[in-house]
This record gives sequence, structure tokens and C-alpha cells, in this order.
Amino acid sequence: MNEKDRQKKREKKRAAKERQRKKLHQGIETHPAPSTSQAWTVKPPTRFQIVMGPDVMVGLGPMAAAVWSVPSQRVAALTAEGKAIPPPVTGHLLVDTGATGTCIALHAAEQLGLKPHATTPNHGAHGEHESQIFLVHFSLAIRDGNGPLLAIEREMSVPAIPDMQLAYAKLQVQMNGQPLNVIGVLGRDFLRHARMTYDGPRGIVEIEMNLAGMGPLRHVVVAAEPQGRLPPV
Amino acid sequence: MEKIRAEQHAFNKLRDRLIQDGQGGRFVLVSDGAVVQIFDDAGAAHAAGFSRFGSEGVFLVAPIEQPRPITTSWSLGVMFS
Repeated sequence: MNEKDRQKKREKKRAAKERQRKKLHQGIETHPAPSTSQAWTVKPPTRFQIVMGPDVMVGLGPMAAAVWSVPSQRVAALTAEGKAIPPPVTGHLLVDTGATGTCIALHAAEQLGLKPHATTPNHGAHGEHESQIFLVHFSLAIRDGNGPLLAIEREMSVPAIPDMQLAYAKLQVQMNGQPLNVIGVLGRDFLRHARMTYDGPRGIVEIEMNLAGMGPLRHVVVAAEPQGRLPPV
Repeated sequence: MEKIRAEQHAFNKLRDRLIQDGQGGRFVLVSDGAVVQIFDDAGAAHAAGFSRFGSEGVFLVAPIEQPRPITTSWSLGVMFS
């Protein structure tokens, strides 16, 4: 192989890498943050799709829009002390069938100023370690096509995962001009109420919820923006 | 982290006795290594913890049950090796 061929091969490799990078940056469909502004009177949706495209799905895994915020008990304490309440943290959760339960990224818990209230042994891919547990308010948006938006909300205790934002920052993936903010994982505690179809060739995950089975939910709010206009997906 | 780890360690030592005493399924509030109070639900235990120790206080709230270790497949090395 002469120098010209080697050069050609290098350029081909570079072009393939660039195509892969562009695909990662383009393919994610945005999801709305849950809104609880107004009651909606139609039947709540129970199905939603995560549309990412096959390459992005391989690169990142399925992501669902979610919001973490300060739990009501801590809000009451901060208010009584005259302290400011940190704003909610909006981002995406990795849908993770390998996780026992839903987890919060440690950087999201820290942004909310939360304090751990327990620890638990965590058997991860790299052996056992100790995870901090935080009480947090959780919201997840569910929307079927252009139908109404359902925000599932609850207060729950979740373990924290360190270093999530570092890992995704390395990929330099953007959504709506902002770096992708991965704020945790959606685990089997949530998926036990769902039927999930992973369509790899199309890069789509369909999730159908069994809302009736979600007993301990604190709030289930079917919501829309004022004037009945739905938030954009 | 060290303080909550110490509270967890203290609770781990007390857990079996609390279960034997018929407190299983309830929620314990622990501070400085001792049980402060036991509640029927987690929300009440957290509210009492914040009320007593404030937003900066370190206290443990945990279900009185045998520990259930969790698993997470997510890891830096596995996801982005």
C-alpha cells in the first residue's frame, strides 16, 4: 500500500467518524418538560414514544424527559428558615432495564441542594459500592403523538449515581443548542408498570403505561398549557 | 457523606431488634446513632426530621426491613468504554 492509498484510507476513516458524530448530534427528538399548569379533562394518555434514530439509540440509549425538584418536606423547611428554594433540574433519564430502581445523577441532587438521608449497597457493573439515597420530587412527561400531556409525579427516595454528566459531556451531544443533561436512570420500579418495545432498526422505544397499577403515585396530573395549547414535543 | 454513613451504620446495628420488636414495615428517624422516632410512612419521618434538625441537619430516614441491595448497569466504563 503506497502513501496515497494510506492517505485515502485515513480520510475515509475520518469521514466515517464525522458522519457518526453528526448522527449523534442530529437524531434526538425533544420531549417537553412536564407542565402542571392546568387540568385537562380528556382521557390521559398511557403510551409514549422515545424517537431517537438507530445510531443515536446505540450511542446513548433511550432517553425520557424528566424533572427533579426539591421535595415538599424540604421546601417547607427551607421556607421556614427563609432560604431560597433551588429551581428544578430538567433533563433526560436513561431508560435502564438493568437498574433495580430509578436513580438520580449526583450532580442533579447537588444542584437541588439535597442531603442524603441513607446509604445502600449498590452492585454495579464494576462491583459493589455504596450509594447515597436522596428524597426528591420526580416528574415524568408522557404524551401519545399530539395528544394531551400527562405528568406523572411523585416524591421518592432514590440512590445517586456519580459522574453521569462527565460521561455524557465527553460525547458533546446537544439538544436544542444545549448540552444533553442526563440526570439519572429510569429503572425497573417504573418499568414494572410499563410494556416496553425496543425497536432498534427504527431507533424508537414505545412505552405503554399501566397507570392503574402505579399505586403509590402522589399525583397524576393531566396537563396542558393555558388556552389548551399543548407544549411542543 | 461520613455523617450519614455513620447514621446508616448505627441503624444497621439496630435493625434486627426493631424488626423483632414488631416495627417492621414502618420508618425510622435516626440521629446521632439513636432512634428519634418511628413513623408509619416515610413522608412523616422526613417532615419530622426537617422540623427537628432543619434543612442543613443530617438525619437518617429508612424503612425498617432487611436491606435490599440495588443494582445499576450504568457505569462510566461500561457505557463509554
